[in-house]
Amino acid sequence: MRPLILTAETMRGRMDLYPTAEVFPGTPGTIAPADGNYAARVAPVVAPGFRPAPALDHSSIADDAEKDADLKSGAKQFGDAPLELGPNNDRLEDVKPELVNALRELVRQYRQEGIVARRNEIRRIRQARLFWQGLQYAWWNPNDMNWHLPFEQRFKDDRELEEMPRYQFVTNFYQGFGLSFIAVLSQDVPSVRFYPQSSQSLEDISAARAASDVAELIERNNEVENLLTSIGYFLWTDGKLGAYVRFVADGQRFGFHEEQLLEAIEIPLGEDAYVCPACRRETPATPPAPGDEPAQDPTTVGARYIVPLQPMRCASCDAELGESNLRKAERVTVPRVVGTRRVPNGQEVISIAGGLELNTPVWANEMHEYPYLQWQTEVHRAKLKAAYPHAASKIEAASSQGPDDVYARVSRLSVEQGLPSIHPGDALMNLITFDRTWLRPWAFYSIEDEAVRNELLALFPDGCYCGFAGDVYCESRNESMDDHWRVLHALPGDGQNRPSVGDSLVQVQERYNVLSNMQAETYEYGIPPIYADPQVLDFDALANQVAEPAAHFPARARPGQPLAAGFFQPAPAQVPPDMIRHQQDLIGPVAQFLTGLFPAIFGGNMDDVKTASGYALARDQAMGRLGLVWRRTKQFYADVLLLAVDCFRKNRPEDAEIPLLGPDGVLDARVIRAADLKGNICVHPEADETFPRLKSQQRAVLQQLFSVNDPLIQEALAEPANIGYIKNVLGLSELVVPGEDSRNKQLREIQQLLASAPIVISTHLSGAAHVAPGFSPASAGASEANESAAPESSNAAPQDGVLKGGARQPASANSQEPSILVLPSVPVDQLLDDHAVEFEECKRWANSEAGQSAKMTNPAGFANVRAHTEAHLRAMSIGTSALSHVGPTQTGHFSPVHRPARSNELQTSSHAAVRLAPKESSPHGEADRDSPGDHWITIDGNHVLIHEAEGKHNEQTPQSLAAQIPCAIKVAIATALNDSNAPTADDKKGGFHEEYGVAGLDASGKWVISRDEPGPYANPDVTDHVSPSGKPADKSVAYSIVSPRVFFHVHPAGVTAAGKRWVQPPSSADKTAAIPGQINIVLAAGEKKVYFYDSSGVIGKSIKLKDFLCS
Amino acid sequence: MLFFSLAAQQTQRSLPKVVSASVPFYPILAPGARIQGVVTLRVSTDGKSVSAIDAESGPPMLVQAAKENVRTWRFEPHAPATFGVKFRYRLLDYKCDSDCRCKSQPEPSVLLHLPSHVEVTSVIPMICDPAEQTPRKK
Repeated sequence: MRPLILTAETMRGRMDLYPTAEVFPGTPGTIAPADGNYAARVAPVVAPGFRPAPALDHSSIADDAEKDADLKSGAKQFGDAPLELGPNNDRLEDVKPELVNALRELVRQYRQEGIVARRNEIRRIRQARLFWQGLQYAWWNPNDMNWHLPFEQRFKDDRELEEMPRYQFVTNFYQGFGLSFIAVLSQDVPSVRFYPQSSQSLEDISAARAASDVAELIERNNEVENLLTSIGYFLWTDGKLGAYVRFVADGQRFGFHEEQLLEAIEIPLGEDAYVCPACRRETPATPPAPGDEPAQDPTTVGARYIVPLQPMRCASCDAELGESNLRKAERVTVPRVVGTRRVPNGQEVISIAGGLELNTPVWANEMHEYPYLQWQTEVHRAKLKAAYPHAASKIEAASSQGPDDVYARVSRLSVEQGLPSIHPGDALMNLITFDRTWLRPWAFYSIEDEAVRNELLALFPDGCYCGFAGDVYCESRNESMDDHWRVLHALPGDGQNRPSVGDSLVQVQERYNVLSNMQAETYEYGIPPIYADPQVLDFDALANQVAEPAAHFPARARPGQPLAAGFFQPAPAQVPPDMIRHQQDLIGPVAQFLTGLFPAIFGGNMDDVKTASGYALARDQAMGRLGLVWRRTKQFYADVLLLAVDCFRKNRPEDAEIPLLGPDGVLDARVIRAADLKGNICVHPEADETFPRLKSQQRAVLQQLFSVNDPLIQEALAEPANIGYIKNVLGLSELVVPGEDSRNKQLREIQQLLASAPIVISTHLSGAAHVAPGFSPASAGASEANESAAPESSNAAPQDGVLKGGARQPASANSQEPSILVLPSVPVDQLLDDHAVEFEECKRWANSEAGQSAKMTNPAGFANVRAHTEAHLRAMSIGTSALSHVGPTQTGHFSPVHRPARSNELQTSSHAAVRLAPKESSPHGEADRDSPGDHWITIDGNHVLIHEAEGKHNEQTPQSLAAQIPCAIKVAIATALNDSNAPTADDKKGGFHEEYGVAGLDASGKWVISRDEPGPYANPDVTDHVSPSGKPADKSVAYSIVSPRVFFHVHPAGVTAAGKRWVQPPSSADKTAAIPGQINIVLAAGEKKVYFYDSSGVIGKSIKLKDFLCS
Repeated sequence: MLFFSLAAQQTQRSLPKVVSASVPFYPILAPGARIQGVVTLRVSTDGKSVSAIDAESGPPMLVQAAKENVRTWRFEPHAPATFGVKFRYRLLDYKCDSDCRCKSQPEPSVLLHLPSHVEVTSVIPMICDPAEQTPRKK
């Protein structure tokens, strides 16, 4: 396949002259002439000029370097001389009549070259089309080269009348078989796949992807099923067809849209002023009075001023100011909307032409050998006059043509009339034969006049399209037939006049008709007479007697003989049983073998096949036979679509939006961007389609699969993603499938997720969770995209302690590494979502072609989908936990059903949500799961994981906590109580200041205790509160602690004269300031008790100091 | 002073640009242990992210937190580089009113001058114990 390269050339189609459309000659946006409603053309006659010839037809003449060089030189010779020829060379005949004459002669000459074979082709195709219509008794008269019906009126020779068959019954199985063939061929639209020319070129890759969308749009606009039906029909009757692809702008067919008309105007960037040549003083130019017309260019606005009748004078020095002193302000050109205009819509149109209309050189085997390709149709002259007003006066009644042209024309018209020959009663003179011919550049070398030839080569460097209404020149342009045409033959063979699929059935049909008529004749004329003995039957009485029911006829048997002996009837004529069998063979096995359309194709009975598998086998074999035609059709179809895509990118000036029904059942607007179509692409039909797949076949296979007990097959059938397909094949579209709505919802959400990036949260295990600053979803996505850009990153074992694209997870055993949490931009609904179904749908999508493509081209979006999938997985874990009511951590904080999140609300979503990380992302098993203190909060709809140290455990008691502290540390802690009672610098007596300390492990794992300096003196009669100093007594000791475990302070014991003292149990502030997950102690010096507490209160009861200390 | 500022700007220009980073937070246990101070790190990059971190000085608990944060930094593509980073962790004092409503002055904050230095402040656990009347002995 020749790669297509986008060119900047933009062309628009002319009105569609059934079924044609050419380049619209007007400026884009002018009203296009349409079928029967011609509007005056606004097109300015703009000379396109002669283009140089860099893009000659490489495929056709690449192998002939000399010719190529000649052509190019010829093109250059005339390439620099623009001529006023009109957009489609409308005026070529006026300006260069010798070129038009040369074209006309060239077209005629090429047509004459293969006239005999072409005549034969027309005769064959015409007979086939008549057969299709049931006119199967036409006979060929070589004298007038025409088909005739047996009883049509003959003026010259009546002898044939006696030779005509009497019976003309038609059992049209030619059409019946043909319909089966067409039905099979058009049942499935061939799958076409566009490939980038280079897998390394991003431009090519994006072009290939966009081309698929374009193809879908084109298929829809051209009603692809009808196209395939036409293809099937012509393959059956003609054996040759062509597809013509072009862009048509036609308001009558495709509607109109409004476009703004813009004009360029100048706007001043300041005031115009007179500048005094003497003193340089500026005097503003006088603005116009209301109603004054501006003296300036009408396209200039905002710069109106009046040129004074009297010379102006400078206000400062009275110097005279003239035009030469006027300094105009700087001006900029801006567009201005001056109106709107109706613009016809356009689209790519594919027309299928049959063999009667398509004239190709009979001797050529392949398309690149064609010097010409001609498409002939009969078009009403009014339409042609409207389309080509410059030639309207010449387009009159059907012009004189050569006998062979008349023959082709008559053949086309007769089949359109449904008659063997044209009926003169119709006003056919108004139908003009419109010849459209495409010529290759090398075809011009048939012209002997070198000057004319070179001019044509320069004018049509890529090839020539020329249109003639009869002999009247209408238009021409530089156009390669390879860019617009593809030709298909039904069967392999030689040359262009190859048989059609149904040709072999024509003679079988004729023979059957003969036998059928003989059978009817036999039955009709084969009833034998009855002979009677006049001695027995009274013929006179019989003749005079009225025949009536139960009548009595006088008869007398001969003596001694029965009455019956007086009568004799010979045996009736019988159709030979052999003939009946032969007839059945003709309509049965013979026809089936010749066409390949076995009963299995159309559901017919097969006597020798008794089982379903036998029928299936026969059907597959039959389809394999048709695969011969099917494969050719697929390639042809793919080629045509490639032409259409190329046509799209050449003619669409802007992005196109197409409504598509998405997999979720929702109409989706997909935009095809012109910029995406700049790469080189090629096309191939799907290789795995060796024959058409009938719905009935698929249904039968499905039913077989349902009855198979293989668990793998049953699993595949139960796969939710297959349910839609199964429903479609079985025709049960209204069947409600559990989870289908959820799957569709998930597919819609995936589309939303792909449009944005996930939200990235960084979580420190030191206890804080936070959204990274400046991480708007978009920027976070960009950041995350960087991290997860490598496809393997999201699945690889984390190396840096970060589980990318997923839930937070510590990577090292000591859980000291930070985690990055990726949250989806579309959160899951904990309560209402069907998490299992949506999770599976996400997984299926991620592994599908679309998912893998998104992973490569849209990593941020893919990461967003992945985060969403993980959210569903976590939600499933919550559901499991909630059902089981078993919390591994026994925290007692579980809440099975969570209140839906509200905006701007901080709420706990789940504790257990993070407990069960997906196995595949938890290589270290339990050790890597989130710790019990973790919980999810929802901020503005986003779930954020908060890690907290382990809080209160139900089984914790003061004793158990005390047991975790080494005895020596307990003693050191108790010392603080004594120190609180001891005097300090400001607490002269002691008992009125706090002591504070922390005990924990240092880097070597040894217990260390760090004490604050004594707190400030505080007399409860004087001050409101007492606090520690907040300053470590020995910083080096304090800083050596890497794992603090016990935080303690002393509530002093002193009592004032007024009977006041400092509170002894942990105060409210103490509880608020309690360090989560650690041991918090208040030593009540006055009570000599020890209180253990956390943020929720005192743990158990206080214990006596002596009980706290080791015995 | 001006020279220093210009030199600092010059240095700043030559450092790789951080395009994303987590917010550095004060380790939650450190204020209770009164741990504060300056952490000095030597950071090496591979042109996109951090490849190695060497701690030069600072309390171990704070060093760990600083390292955690530096690992989250992502840079604009640049030539692999090594540079110093200072994390200053500072604890704020607090004041309480008569109802033990305590507040630090100023509020805890995070100041980022990436990638050269970072300042993180927090407040020590705000302990405020009120007075009570001594219960009468029966």
